[in-house]
Amino acid sequence: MSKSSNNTILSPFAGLLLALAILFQYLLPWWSVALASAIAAFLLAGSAGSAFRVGTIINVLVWFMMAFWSHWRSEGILTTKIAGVLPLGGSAVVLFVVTLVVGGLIGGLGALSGFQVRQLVKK
Amino acid sequence: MKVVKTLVTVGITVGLCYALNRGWGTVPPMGNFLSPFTGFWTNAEAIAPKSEPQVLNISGLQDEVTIEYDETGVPHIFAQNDHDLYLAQGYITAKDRLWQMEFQTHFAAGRLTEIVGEKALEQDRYQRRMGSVFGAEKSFEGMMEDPKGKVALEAYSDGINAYISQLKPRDYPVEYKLLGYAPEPWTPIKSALFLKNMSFVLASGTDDLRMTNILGKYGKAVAEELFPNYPFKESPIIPEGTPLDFKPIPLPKAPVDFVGIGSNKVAEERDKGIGSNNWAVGGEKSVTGLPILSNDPHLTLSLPSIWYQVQLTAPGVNVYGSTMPGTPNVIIGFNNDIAWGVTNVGADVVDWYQVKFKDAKKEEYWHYNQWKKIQKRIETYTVKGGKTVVDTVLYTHHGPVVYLDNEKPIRDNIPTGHALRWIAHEKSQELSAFYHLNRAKNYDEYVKALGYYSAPAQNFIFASNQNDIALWVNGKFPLKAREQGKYILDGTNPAADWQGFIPQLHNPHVKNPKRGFVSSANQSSTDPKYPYYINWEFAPAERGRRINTRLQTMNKATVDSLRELQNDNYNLKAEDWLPTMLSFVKKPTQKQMEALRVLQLWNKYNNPDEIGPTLFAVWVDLLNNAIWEDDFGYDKNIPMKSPSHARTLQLILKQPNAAWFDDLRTKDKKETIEELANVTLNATIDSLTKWQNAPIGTAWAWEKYKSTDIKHLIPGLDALSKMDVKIGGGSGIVNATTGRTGPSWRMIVQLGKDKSVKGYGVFPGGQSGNPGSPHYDDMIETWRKGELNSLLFLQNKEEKSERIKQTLVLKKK
Repeated sequence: MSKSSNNTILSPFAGLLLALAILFQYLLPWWSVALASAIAAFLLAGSAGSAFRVGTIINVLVWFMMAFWSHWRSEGILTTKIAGVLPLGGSAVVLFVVTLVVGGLIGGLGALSGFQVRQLVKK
Repeated sequence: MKVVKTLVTVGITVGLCYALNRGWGTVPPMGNFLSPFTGFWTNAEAIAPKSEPQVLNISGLQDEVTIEYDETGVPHIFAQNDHDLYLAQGYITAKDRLWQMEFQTHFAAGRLTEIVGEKALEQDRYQRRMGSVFGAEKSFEGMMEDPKGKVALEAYSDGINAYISQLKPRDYPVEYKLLGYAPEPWTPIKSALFLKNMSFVLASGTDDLRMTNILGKYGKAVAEELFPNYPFKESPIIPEGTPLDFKPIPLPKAPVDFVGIGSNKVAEERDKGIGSNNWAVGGEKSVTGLPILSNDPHLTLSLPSIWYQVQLTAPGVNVYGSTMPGTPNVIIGFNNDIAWGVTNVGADVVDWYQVKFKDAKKEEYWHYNQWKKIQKRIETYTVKGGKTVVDTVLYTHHGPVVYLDNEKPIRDNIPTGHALRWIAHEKSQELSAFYHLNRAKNYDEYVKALGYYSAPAQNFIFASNQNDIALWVNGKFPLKAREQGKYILDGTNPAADWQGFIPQLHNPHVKNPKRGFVSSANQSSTDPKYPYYINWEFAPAERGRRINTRLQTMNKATVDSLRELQNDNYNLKAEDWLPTMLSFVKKPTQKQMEALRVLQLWNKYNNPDEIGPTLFAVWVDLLNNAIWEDDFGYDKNIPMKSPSHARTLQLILKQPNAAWFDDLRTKDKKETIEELANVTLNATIDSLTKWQNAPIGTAWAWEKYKSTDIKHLIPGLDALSKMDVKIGGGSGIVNATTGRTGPSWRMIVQLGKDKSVKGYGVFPGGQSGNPGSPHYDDMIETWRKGELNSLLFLQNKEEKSERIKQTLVLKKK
């Protein structure tokens, strides 16, 4: 299996990352998002760029799906309230954006870390 | 190179994770808080709850328990024994209110520093130095002595812990995530702490220091004249002429007059809107021929709500009502035979004793002609972040020396260098009182249950389907000479000590009075003929007078007519004051004209859109202030109390030329009451114009001025609060809704024979403490409109009702 095929979000890398991200975050504290991304990238990422990109995109996607599910099934009962508790001007959209930035950034950095560690180990 | 790059990336990742995993000041641990796997997102509840029955396995249960939730989220608990009943109550209450239960008991225990850090230290210190933990420990001892109370207390605690133990961090109530901490196991003593805190809320008021400062400045004659021991307009709780059914024991001899040195440390004051109403009409006054009972305790309006409704059913008990999360049993409610409710008495149960220490070491104090040993109690505070602070509190036989002379109290009514004697330090069994009230079937059982109750003293109102109505002014009252404790007492004189307690059966009470109703609204418990001393001053008489006038003329009362009385916005104080105030404005200026017209046309109802209540409230306050500030408020370092508004009005009417009206701060001028009235009317108009930046008009509406907010328990979380609720009423109004306080639970019970009792109720909040639940605040609108929900009272778990939305079965593990 060529590593170059692990550059897209439909790659085995992305699939593994998705699976680990969900599993880890369900069982472990929130920062396991970085750990899951690092492990997936360590094993399958093709390049630093793809590790960061896929790590970011998949985790944004996962966090978005989860957050949106919560928001939708509760008709947004808590989203606007929390957007008022945090200094976000009561905007649910901004709260979503902030949430996804955190999830995406930590996930992307985690994946990049995993890839770079493998590059070191490989030598 | 690669190594460096990798270290940098890993470093940034780990560093960011660390930074987002901890809180920074008031910023929550954002990573955890925002994660949709663990954060606030998981606290949002689906709008339509699951309808299929849920089964949970709970350790510690002896048998199966069924819980039916109705459409407002009220749990109806059916257990097969007392133990399981209270275990389930603990479990279910924690499920809806865990954070609040823990937060309130942390507050009561002086442990807020553990949650919010150093900034809570002074508050925590105040709480503990007043002896609330000391009192809770004693009270807990008392509660555990009653075997039934012990079962309830321990099972309730086990239920809460059964709930806590199965929580994963993602399940924690959102406030834990916001403040970044985790729930700790519950302990039975926390229930005692919670109840002690009710004494703090309702029975810690103390004017002894302010009165002593007045005594020092003006002497006894003036103090007694301006601060009389019975108001000139009153309608006491126990109707005048009610015969005594006991032989009073003699009062102790009054200690010799003592003028304390007082104290001069300052800080802020406490809330005045706390009080309550209750009444019951007998069968001859009701449309059903049986009593109807009403109660609305006025407390600080908060979210999560202070009350939590529940129905508790087990062999020997079937009761519905409001509970206080943190304690087992129903506090205000009804069963098939009786209904009961409470209002605060406001007894003089807080006394201060000037301490004479032997020397600067403060190890001995003078009492009864000898040096006695000071006891020391070490209080340890754990501050968030790991630091601990240790504090030693000195105790005389009276109680704790709350602040030493070199310390600055958090509140300005607390004297330094004085020992506190407080009823909340006594061993007590309040829980047993509620346990037995929940099961009482008639008047005698109600009276027996009250015997267990100590503090905070309450006016317990009662009605039964045997057509009895009654009211006991009940609690443990120290046996004192009249007005003993109006001023600071001499801590060296044994005659100034509390000399035992008023026998409980001698507490003021009335059963089936001729007038056909009983009522209380925190006013004077009795007329001056009652043989014991309870307090020299109670809440202003207006609410009580209004309620009694309305009930006097009410016939064929229904639930609805009593509900209307609960929502009565009539301003009796305005009726008393306004004609006199208006008569002082003889030549109105252009500016005064408009305001006068509004006040003259005002029907004296504090309805939300009226401007009259705003003008009156500001004017009467400014006028009272103008009369007394130069005499009692001239120096912030010598806190004094101003005469009551009622006494002031009496002075205006009876002695319009009294020297008190002269403003001592203007040397060459002698003011009259007429001048003060005119000056303060102008000031009223000016300050309101400035406040809204608009002339008199809709911008001055009462609801805008009063601005009722129902706030989350954490200060500053307006987004989780209900702000600017449009509702009338006010302080001294039967509908006692002020800016921050108000009817915290409104209940009306129509008694009935053969299990036909009907209950109605609402509180300004919701059953759930979770801001992400539809039941967080879904009763507020009903409450605001003055409506009540019909309360679902099931006879057994087999009874079907369309209102049951979800069933939960608890099975033993």
